[in-house]
Amino acid sequence: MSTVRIITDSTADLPSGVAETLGIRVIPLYVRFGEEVFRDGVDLNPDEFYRRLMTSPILPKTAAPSPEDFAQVYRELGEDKAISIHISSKLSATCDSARQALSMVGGSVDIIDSLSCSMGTGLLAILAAEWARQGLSAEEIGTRLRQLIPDKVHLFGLIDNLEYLHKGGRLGKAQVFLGSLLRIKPILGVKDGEVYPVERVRTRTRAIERMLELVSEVSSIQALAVLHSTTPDEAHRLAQQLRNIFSGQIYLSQFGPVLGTYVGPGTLGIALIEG
Amino acid sequence: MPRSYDGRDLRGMVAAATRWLEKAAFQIDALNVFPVPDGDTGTNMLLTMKAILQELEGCSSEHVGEMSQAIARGALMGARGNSGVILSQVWKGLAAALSGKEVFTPQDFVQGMREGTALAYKGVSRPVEGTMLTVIREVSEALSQDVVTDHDLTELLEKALSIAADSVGRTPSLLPVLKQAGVVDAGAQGFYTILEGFVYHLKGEDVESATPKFISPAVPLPRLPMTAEEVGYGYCTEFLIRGRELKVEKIRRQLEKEGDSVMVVGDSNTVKVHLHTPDPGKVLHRALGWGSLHDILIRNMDDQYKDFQEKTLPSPRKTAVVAVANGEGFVRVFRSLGASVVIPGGTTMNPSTKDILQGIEAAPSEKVLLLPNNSNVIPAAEQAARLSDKQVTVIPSRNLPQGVAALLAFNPEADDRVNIEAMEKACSQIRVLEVTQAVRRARWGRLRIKRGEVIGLLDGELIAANRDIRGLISEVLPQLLPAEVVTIYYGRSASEEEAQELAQLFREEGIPEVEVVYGGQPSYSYIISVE
Repeated sequence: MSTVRIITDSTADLPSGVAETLGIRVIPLYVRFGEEVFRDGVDLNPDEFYRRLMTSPILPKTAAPSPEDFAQVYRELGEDKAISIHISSKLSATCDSARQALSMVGGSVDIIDSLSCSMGTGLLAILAAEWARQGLSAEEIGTRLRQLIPDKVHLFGLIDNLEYLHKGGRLGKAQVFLGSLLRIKPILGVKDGEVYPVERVRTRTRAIERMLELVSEVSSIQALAVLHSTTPDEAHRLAQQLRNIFSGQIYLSQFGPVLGTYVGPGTLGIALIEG
Repeated sequence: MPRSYDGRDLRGMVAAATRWLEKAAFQIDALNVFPVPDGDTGTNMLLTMKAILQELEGCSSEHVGEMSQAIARGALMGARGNSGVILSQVWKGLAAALSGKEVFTPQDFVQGMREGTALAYKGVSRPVEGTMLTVIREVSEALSQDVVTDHDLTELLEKALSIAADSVGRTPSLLPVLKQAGVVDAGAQGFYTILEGFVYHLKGEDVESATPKFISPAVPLPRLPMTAEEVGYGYCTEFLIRGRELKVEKIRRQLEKEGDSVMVVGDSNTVKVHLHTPDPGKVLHRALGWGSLHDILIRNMDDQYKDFQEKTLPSPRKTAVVAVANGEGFVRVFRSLGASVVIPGGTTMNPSTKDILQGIEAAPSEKVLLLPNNSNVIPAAEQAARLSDKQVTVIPSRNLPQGVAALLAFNPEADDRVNIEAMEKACSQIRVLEVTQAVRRARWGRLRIKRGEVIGLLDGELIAANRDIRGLISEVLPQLLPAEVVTIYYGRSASEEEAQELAQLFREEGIPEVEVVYGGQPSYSYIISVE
């Protein structure tokens, strides 16, 4: 029996090289600047994206992969079994597309809604790939992932400018943080598949301190990642500080074009899986 | 012969309407959805009326014409926000009709409404029906058509009131966003409230003891799905079909059976499809038979509707925060940070238990966290909490910045116990320096204060006196360090320029975050929070 195939999408923000090394297939979403359409991570890399984000008069828009995009990948699987884990269905139509494709094409694909995004989804895909290498069956991997998803996957971040989330319509419950007349730094998270407000603090320094505190409140961590959109040095420093709390591998990643459309420049994030 | 009305009547009407509007302002704010759901209309109209009142108080004449000039001046200068500006135009029209007159008649008032209506419409670049404009116009038209000339002003205004009530109730049928939100237009309600204030005064009824009336929407409201299980809308499905010899008509006929809002356009090579269907898979499956599918977009419309509801309805929060504040800047800061209701503290930051109770009542939830924001207000706040039927917890903030810190710590997603703890902790972690002028000589501990000197109180304790403000700040700075964030709220008697100069003093000490915010407080020229 061949290894279970792991499929995810570009919103997982897998660090470069990780997908190849672990054999994870990444299906790109689309980012559109006006008339120009790019496949996330294929036609447009993060640095080029942020350059455009800060210079283009038009705000980018994102779109999920089409069912056909998924169908192509699912058809290639042949007889192999696969886990297809994706960005929260409350944030994107990606899962819907995947399901459409499966009904068109058939096959043994377990489509899983991660109820998270970015490295929340990414870490789950990485764990799934490691389990697949260890020889676990698709059913076992599916079960494990479903046990983690409800409340063991944490994603939160310091958003420099809420306008991107606001204009992109993904602010969700964090709407309450909008419109403040005082300069505040919001910390947002993803829970139950959608964005929610964690805390408001007055300074960036304090926000980073708080994020470290939030991580140390988790009793045991099995996977950890630090994310940035345009401040890699800050992410490195944060990762250094996290080494005091977690001795395993800390993935360093960048919010890709799709996530970047919503989190904007200057954002710092942490993804972790308990257990 | 209709009687005529003099300056005293005019003054009384304006004062009563202002007080009346003050009682209703928070609830009017909660109605705000148009043009933007920013919750300002009641406050803006109130501030406009207060500006009028202030200007009137400065006018010693009892001559109606002269008073009208003062009213128009106050209105124009004090007009705030869209609704405030429209209101000021109405007052301008009224003033024009009353100009030069020693006393006024009901007909003068009607003329004033006509002129006010014309000015109000002209003053808005794109007048929209279903707003305050509609009510003003309908009242003005109805009063003009009234040929009975011996009505006195009371009867006339009562008639105006009933017309206004009807008009306000119908605003949702004129403005779709109101209908969807299930509310009447905030500005329209505000105008009604002002008319109601006039009537109360003319009838000699006491505005203190009664409650303003709120008009309900007169249209059947949209059915609001209460649970996620309620299906209704399906999926908004769009895609492009590319193929050869596509038959647009045939495609359209086939798809019309699959859902509604069906749109099929294109030619023999490319056809764009849009429809709302409960089964998008079925539609796509069928479309696959016609050609290749592109740009496929499927959206769950239940989610879109729920999102919209959450944004436009005054959100039924589990727990709301109610804060006492004075200074229009502070009021705005509290509202912007998420306080559902801000109770005006008045010049001396001294609301009555009743004022606080009204604020609690106006909050859109059964549970309330109350921020008194002044040590003197805490007893009244606790009293109001005991008297209220709602579940009210007082977070004992002793000054405005403590209240701001507490509100920042409030998380609507967390449960009450967590919030109360976080908010109380936030109050204790912030230090506040209040700066004002000494009104008399005094000896305080080792301090000798001269009249007119600038004095500083740190967390309520007098710690320094100085000839000028810069000197005072320089003197007390060492006691305030170390600090990460300093917020300088400047009051009515201070200037932004000076506030920025003081900010510089703090920045020179290496404090990373120094912010200058307009507080508008009447009493302390500067309230400075240090964290």
